[in-house]
Amino acid sequence: MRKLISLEIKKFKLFSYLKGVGIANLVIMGLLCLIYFAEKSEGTIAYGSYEMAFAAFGSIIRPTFIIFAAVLISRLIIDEYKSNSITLMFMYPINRKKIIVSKLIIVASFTFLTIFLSNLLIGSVFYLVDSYLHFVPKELTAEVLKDGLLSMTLEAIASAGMALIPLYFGMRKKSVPTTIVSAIILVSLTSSSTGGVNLFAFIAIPISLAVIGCLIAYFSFRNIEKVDVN
Amino acid sequence: MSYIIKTNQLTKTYKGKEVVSNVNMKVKKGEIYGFLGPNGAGKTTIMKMLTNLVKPTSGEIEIFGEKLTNTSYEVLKRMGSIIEYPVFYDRLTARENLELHCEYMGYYDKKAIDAALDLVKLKNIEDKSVKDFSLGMKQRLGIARSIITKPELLILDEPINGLDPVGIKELRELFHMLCREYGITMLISSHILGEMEQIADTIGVISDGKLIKEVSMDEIHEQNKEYIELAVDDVKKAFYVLDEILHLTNFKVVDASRFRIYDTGASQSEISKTLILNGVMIEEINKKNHSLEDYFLTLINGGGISA
Repeated sequence: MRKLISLEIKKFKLFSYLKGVGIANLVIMGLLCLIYFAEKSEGTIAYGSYEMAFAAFGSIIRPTFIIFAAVLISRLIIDEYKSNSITLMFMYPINRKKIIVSKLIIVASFTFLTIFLSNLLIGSVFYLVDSYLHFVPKELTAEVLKDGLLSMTLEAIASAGMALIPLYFGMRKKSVPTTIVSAIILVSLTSSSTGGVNLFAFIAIPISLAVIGCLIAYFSFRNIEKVDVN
Repeated sequence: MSYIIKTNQLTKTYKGKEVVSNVNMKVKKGEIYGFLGPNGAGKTTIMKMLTNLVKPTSGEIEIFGEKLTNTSYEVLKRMGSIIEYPVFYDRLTARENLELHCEYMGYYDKKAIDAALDLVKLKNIEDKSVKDFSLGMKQRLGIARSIITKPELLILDEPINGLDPVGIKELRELFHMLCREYGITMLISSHILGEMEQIADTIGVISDGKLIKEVSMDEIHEQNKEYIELAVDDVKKAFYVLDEILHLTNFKVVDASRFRIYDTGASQSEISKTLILNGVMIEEINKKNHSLEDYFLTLINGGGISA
């Protein structure tokens, strides 16, 4: 399985996506600065506490990388079907389920890692900047940090599962636009906040969406050995 | 006789329509089997079933003496194939594509890639991604990929599509070489008769999803020998003259004044000269040669569709 994953990475030159991840992080940081200055000009404080700040980071990072994952699904799975190269893959003496699972593992772990590491990176940069400029009124306590880390990890895991949901819509007509649009709809439904409350705040919702994502992946390819590949 | 491929009442139905019906084909070890049939006859569908991409509606397939099932992955290791048209990872170079192929096949002979590229005569392709290849080059690369692991069975769907005449000749020689020297069994499909005639040992004619004839090339040549047909005034005298002077013995009488000579020992002009010099009057002399094309067109038309 590790071999298959490394071959997939080689085949699609997936390390070139790291550049995209880096750019996304820079854009997110820019956006966070913008929010800070916009709020300041209105006389309010954007990041009243570290708790609020962490929540804000998460709500920008998550959607970004769930959509990024949809791009990856398009490349790894939808495109293989569209360009017929999946017939090539399925003529290799390799269990078809393993081929698909290795692709899904790449998507899920990519989502988890990018969300987790981006949160860490942006959080640390934020903390560093704040330690010089002191724009957050409340200090960062160990308690807040622990809670923040925990919820961030949970969210990253949930997002990794959720990221597989667009697969269902994309596979129906083997369409890349459908995959990406469904990811955008998915994140705008789950990450939009109304009155400061967003769906992600109740941990049950992201967890159940993650479970749905995994089920979708399972049911999409359960019969992979029995169906015709055209 | 051991068969590499054997199908038993193989049938495939798409949306209630039978595209392949009750095909019983047998491919012997070490032969080149030519799959001949008009477009849409079901050649590709059968090949897809043989490579496990498409599952039969009913019937069975045996490859290397083992029944093909949904999870027959091991047999795929012993096969090389191009189905429909060669598919590559377009953004990679030819070499990268071949390297990936070897990795997936579990074949680790570094020299094999160069050897395969040499065999199909693909040169000056380094640093060029496959999307910039012409159809002919892709076809060659596809063949290189299918033979790189030295499989026991090659399944090639329309391998000569998109090649120029020189390329076709080179490939024909390559196929013969692979078959004779490496003992690779080949299943090649085409709708081009002349090509099949020169490549195949056995021909399976398929039309409208049915295998209407499976016949060896030798047999076809036997049935379609060329002959000289003569109409003379005295058949007995003619026989005598030909036997005594030209030592021809293989005759067949058609009617009172007509007969055919199947011997190839004498030319048409030699025969007519000898007969006339010996007082046999020739009313008509014709060299006849049944073309393979006629043979197959009758077969296919007899199968119920118009070509």
